[in-house]
Amino acid sequence: MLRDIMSQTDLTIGPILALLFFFSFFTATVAWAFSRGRTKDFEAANNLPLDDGTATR
Amino acid sequence: MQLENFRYDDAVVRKFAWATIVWAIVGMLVGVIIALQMAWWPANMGLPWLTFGRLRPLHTNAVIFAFAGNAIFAGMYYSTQRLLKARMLSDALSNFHFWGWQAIIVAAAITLPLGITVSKEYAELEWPIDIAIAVVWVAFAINFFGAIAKRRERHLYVAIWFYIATIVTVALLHIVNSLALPVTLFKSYPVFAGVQDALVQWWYGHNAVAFFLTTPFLGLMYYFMPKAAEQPVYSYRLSIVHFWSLVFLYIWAGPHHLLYTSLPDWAQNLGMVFSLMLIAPSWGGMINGLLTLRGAWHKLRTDPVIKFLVVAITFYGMATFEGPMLSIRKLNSLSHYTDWTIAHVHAGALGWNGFMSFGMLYWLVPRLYGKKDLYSSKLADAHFWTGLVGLLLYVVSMWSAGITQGLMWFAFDANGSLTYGDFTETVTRLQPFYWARVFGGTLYLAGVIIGFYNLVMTAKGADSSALEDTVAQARPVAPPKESAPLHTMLEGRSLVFTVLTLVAVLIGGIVEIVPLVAIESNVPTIASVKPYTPLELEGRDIYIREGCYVCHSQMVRPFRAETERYGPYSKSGEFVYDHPFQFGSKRTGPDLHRVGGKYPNMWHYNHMKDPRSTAKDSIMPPYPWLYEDALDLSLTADKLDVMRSLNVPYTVDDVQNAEANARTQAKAIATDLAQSGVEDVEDKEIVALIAYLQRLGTDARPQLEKEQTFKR
Repeated sequence: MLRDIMSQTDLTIGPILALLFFFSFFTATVAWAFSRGRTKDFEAANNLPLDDGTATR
Repeated sequence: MQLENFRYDDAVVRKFAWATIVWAIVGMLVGVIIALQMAWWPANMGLPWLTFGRLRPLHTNAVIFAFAGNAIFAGMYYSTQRLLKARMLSDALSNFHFWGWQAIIVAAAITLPLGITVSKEYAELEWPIDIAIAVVWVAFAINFFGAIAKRRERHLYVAIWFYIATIVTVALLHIVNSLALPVTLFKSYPVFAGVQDALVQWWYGHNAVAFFLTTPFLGLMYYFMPKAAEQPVYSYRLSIVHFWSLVFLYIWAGPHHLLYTSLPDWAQNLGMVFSLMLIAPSWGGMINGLLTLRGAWHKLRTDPVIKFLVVAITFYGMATFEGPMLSIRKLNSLSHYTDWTIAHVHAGALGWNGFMSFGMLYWLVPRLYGKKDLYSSKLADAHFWTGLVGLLLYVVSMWSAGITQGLMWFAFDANGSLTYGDFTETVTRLQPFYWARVFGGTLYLAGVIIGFYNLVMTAKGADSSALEDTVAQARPVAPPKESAPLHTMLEGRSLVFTVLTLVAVLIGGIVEIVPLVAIESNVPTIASVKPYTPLELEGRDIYIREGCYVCHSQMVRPFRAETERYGPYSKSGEFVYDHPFQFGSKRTGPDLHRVGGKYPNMWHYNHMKDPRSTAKDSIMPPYPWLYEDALDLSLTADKLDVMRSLNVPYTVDDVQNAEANARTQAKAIATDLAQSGVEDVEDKEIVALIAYLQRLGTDARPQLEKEQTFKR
């Protein structure tokens, strides 16, 4: 069934779609990661390895 | 909210830490032995379970899954609990994970030397062990995600993301690549065949590198590098881009293991392009790791932990530059099947995984045993330098060997004939490099043994109070508000995060594998290609058992240098009944795809008994047991039956008469051998192996010789 359908489908648009998808995903990730509003959150997360919770806070 | 007191489970970390170093010694010792076998063939000892073909899979499995596996588990159990401010979900699951994993390793160490193997690289273990791996892995996942669910920290630190990607992807890869139909408890055939099996295998194989040897170690880097440097990672933003780019790109890269094979070009090109793109996130991660040391570089002179970690990250950078370069088709045509690949993987395994693990152990063990410092920082330095020198010797000698052999294979003289028409000439030229490797590998192993001693002495005489679980305090977190920003929501909902990661890794696999399996034009059939006879199938299973594929490829690439040497280049339609595929990935000996009919039966008979009788300088081990052990045909009918279930066109008659047909063919070969004075071989294993080798590549050969533009 899958074989029949896929063997008859024109898949040439696939690469274009994939390029658009990857490019927009990457752009969105970078934009989000470097947006200003995130600074405080990231700082908190970034300090996690240095805090074992073993000293009383 | 109230502060809560709780304890971290450190006992399981200690167990994994010791397993790491013990298995490192075992795995690398086997490595040194097989390196010696390459330099000096008598080291194969003439014993079935000590030959290179059986020990090499043991070496790779021991180093990847036993050494590196235990290292990542030690680091993950230590860091996950601390990053989540929570104990693992269940001590019972932690212990089940530890003992289950060790049992699997022992099972591998027993079955592989016995020749019980599926022959798919880094996935050689037979189906009952595969199921055990899946069960242990699921237990680990439940334990891990359970800890995430009860965490006392809102943020999921980037190391945890890498762990999530590891757990999810390894499960997916393992299950898909292990799909097989069993014949008996110790024998199964993969459901995919030929070029499709090859693509699934290398989708798995490359992503075992990606998600077993890279992402978990990156998680460890993002945790232990800040710990050792005593300051946070250089850029958390970069680590986010690093993570998402890496998981999106890595999964596509598998086909670069199959460049210039009969895999369709579109799949090869996808693999190459995505491999090239991988430089960006990999180097982003490397820079992020190294710059974590900003302002603390002086520690590199004094702190052994920092030394190991910095060299590890440097080798990560080197290997992730070399990898994409080797994925460029043109360069790959030179490097593929040579020792260059071996150099590349050892830069990664010994440099990145090895040094990362030892750096981590040197940081962990004193803390796990309540000691201020290592027993001896001088010994750690000694380990560092012997390891580094050994590693460089190893890598440089294998680069030299690989490039030398690659160029020799492609060399033509002024008359247009192959300059090195005798394959063994291209192997004997490598002997000095092989000895250099033995020396380098031994140095590296010596360093690890020094490290083991140092760690034992560090742990010795620890207070019993130091062995108690560490007490910690933290406040529970409130569930995230509906209005929280997107990523905070994602972090808060680790399930959504996990699903997104799974989607990211699924895309590449689906886009590459489904069309190849589903679209007929991707694997054009060749009418003259027929299934193996029962005796040939038995011979093929002997070929698999002895690990012939470890040193011999079955894939003639479309180059004049190869068609001159071997015959018409291989087409995907020739492998449609090959469960599993036997393309191989290394040519220590010549390609065998067109060996069928090339020599008389007697040549093969002599060759397997004493390879030097047919090729003077061969380094192949002899296989005397093939001439003593009786050929077991009791399962032949069952094997054909299983193949029938896998759509190999055997008839019911074929299955019923399997044994009789096999005996008839064996008798014919024995009669032929008897003319050369060989008696009493009709019921020996060697006859089946000869039958298989004589069949290889013959079905389509007449047609391909007409079709192909490369004329002999």
